[in-house]
Amino acid sequence: MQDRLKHIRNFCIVAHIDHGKSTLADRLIEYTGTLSKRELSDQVLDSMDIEREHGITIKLTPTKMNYVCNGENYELNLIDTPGHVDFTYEVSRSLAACEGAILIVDASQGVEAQTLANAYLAIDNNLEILPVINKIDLPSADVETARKEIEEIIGLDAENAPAVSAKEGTNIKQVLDQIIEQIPAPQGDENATLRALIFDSYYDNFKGAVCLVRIFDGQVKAGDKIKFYITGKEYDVTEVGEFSPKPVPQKELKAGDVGYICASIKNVAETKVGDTITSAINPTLNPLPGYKEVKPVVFSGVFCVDGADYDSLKDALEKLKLNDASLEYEPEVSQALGFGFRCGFLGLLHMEIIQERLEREFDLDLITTAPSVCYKVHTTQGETILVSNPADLPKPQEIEFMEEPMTRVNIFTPPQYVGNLMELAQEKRGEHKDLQYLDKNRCQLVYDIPLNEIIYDFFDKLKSCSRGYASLDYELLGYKVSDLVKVDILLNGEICDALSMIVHKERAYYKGRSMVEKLKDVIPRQLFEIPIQAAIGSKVIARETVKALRKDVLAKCYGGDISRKRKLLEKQKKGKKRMRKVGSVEIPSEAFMSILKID
Amino acid sequence: MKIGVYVHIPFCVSKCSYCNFYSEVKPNLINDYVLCLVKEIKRECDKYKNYKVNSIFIGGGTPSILPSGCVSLIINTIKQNFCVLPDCEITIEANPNSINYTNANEWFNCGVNRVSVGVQTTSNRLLKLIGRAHTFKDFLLAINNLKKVGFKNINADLMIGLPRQKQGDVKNALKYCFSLGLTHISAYTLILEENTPLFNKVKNGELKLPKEEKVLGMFNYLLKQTKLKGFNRYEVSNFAKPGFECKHNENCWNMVEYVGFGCSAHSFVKNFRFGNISNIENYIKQINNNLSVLEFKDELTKEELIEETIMLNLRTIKGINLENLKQQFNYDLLKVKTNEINELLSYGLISINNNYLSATNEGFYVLNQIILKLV
Repeated sequence: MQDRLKHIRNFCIVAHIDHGKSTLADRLIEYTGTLSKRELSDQVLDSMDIEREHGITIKLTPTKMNYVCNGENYELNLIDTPGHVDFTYEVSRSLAACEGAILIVDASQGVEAQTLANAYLAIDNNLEILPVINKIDLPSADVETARKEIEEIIGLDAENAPAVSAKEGTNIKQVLDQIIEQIPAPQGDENATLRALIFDSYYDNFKGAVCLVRIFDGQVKAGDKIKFYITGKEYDVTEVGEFSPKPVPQKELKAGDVGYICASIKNVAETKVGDTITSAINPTLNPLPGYKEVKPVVFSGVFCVDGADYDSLKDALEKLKLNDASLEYEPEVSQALGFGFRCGFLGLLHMEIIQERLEREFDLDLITTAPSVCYKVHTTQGETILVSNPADLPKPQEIEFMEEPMTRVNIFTPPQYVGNLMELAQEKRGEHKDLQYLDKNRCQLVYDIPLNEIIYDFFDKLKSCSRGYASLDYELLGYKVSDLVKVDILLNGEICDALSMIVHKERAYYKGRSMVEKLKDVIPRQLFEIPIQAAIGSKVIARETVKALRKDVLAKCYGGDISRKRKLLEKQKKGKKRMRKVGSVEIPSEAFMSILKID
Repeated sequence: MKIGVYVHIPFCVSKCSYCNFYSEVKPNLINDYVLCLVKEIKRECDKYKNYKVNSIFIGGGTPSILPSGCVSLIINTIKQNFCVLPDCEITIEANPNSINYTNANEWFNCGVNRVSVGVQTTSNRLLKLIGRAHTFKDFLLAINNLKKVGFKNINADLMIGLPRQKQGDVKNALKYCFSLGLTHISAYTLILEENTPLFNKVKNGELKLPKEEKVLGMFNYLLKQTKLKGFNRYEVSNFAKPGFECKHNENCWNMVEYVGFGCSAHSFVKNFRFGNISNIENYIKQINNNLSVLEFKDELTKEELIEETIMLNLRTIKGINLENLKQQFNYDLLKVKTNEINELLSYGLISINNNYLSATNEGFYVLNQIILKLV
């Protein structure tokens, strides 16, 4: 093996949410002197505020560190991975760029659903796994139990697993030494034709789309002509470099290296995660394995509270899309909500993050419709169409049958909550697959549950019926025939398209009833009586009435204090601006959001 | 040009449980306060040289608790420093338990010609419940004294929609207003103001407000009875025998200018709305140091003037003078709000007669909604 490669280690860190991934990464960066404590503004790898608040990393920022072990200088490339199920594919590509993974387990929590899911992902990618037990500073830390769990549940040898406190910086050296000792050096032939794996990309205003790559074979430098295997597009390389953790240009990148390639690429959508970059002149015939087209699974209509903000919303989505190729959107027109966009997300968290960024970074006031999944509708004409917006569903008589996406859900929980959780899963139309008692404190429940049942409030419910102890992981399984119907909501006799939803027939009555009850509470009384109905086709399944407003008048004008009245008027006017009209009925924008919270 | 003068007396014997207006129970400050009031009137009066005063209103708080001599001092100061019209309406607000022959006599002699009495209800049970300091008997004695002194124009403030109030209570209150020969009735439906003791009691379930239908029933009863007895409803909450309409009120709804003196008093002069600070001690300190007591001053834009004209005019039985609106602001309400007006007409909440757009009796109940549609 080339001497250069022997001194390179490419690794990532995987963990369940909150087990301390980012904190450990910080300590490694600090210990190796890559950044000083001052430069390392706490959790340097998480660059976005929202990610920080969610306590998770979404964007992956690799970092190159230098470390001296046994008198020899090593180059360590840390590739951070997002710790959420929505981004499983991205994680798998990041893992594919490494030879080893540090698996963090919280000494007070033990192995959780995502610990296992991530460990399996790493095993699937043939990585050497280095268990690390973190948070030993906590009073509730139980290192030996965590060790035992790693061995019994995951099946990894944890006898020598370092017990660290990333927070306090204890035993960090041990981790670094084990990285050198246990994680294999990369292999590859720097004289072979170029093969580089894109594991992420981001948009830079000056450089265009920047590809984050791991070079498996060959080398690349500025001026080279490259070709993207999947898209077939060719570019001229303008710059290559490494991250430390800021991008630093280099003369070249060679087999085994982790770094970036810029090639005046206009759009991140052209840089598909998992694609292989090769030489345009001498392209490889063997692309790196594992590429998958990423498709959104959760959809939601996004509208502005103030219709006049439509253009700002459009701009904002364009800007977000620059950096997030997985975000999909197309214009949508709703009778109730006006002009907006139908957006597709990788999952619930992705949806939440995008919505939050739109509101926070672009200062938009949004109405989002209930999340939906993509249904396969088989029409009586023999066609199969994909429907992700309930408003687009063909009439009942034109539908032969429908299929809905299913997920396999893995739940980890202490045994005392198994009953609650099974009940919850049943309620969500779950099909029981497996129940295993992993040890005396932990069970694994496996259910197949329709995706449209978990996109609402499954996670919240799971937490509340297990006092926060249960953890969850899911993967998409494919489609299954299901008896689905569209429930419409009629306000004063008119369908409010933004409130329509597709639900299982057995749940339709219950959902319709809770919707109209909720709406009755959130729609303010108006000058006339408003019937609220839930209907399947022309059949009304639930009804409530908002009585006409009889009295709304101010009493005394005290001491000529008109400003007081004025303020009230301004407040009411403001409230009115946030109203949407369906027929003659005014609906506060909050109403569209609050119905998302019904079971 | 006409102007109204408002004087605020921010003192009360005790705070009523529904009230969130500015007043305090600090009798030791009263004398200093009145002296400052006089100073304020004197130092500001030059700005109003071109105006003729058609209404003086001493409100509160409870002006009737002022020690002897204070009311005459205030009225005389105004008379000496303003051009007060001979037929000027001069009102004092009074609570039944602080009206006696002596102070009533003083008011009458210095020119007060209208007394507005905070009766609220004639039921002792309800008076106690809402924290009023007077009783039914106090009310009878007070009216008796006012009449003895010579007052011909007396108003009673009544409240509708109090917790545990029944139609019988309203009936009883009206009966006495009529039989005692009062000329004016202001009937306010209770509005729960946040952070008042009553609000808290209702919030924590200790007290319950009557249902909306019941409140409407009581108010409808009052509408019918006042009409039978020859009272005209000339505003949402105000009823008067012909010729006894309150000028102070009318000034306010017709956008006539007015100037307020005293702590927390508000003014509307030359398209400016401004208000004084709401703290007695600060007010006294500022006046004595010859410093400003202004808390805010807003100039109304044309749009705001239009909005306020609509909002305030709509409170009157006459309604909005559409022609006036056109001439004054070049604003054609019928054109701008055609759809809204047609909608409101179809609900029977407004009517349009002789270029006036006004709320109907039904409309008065939901006036806020009408205003919202028209501004």
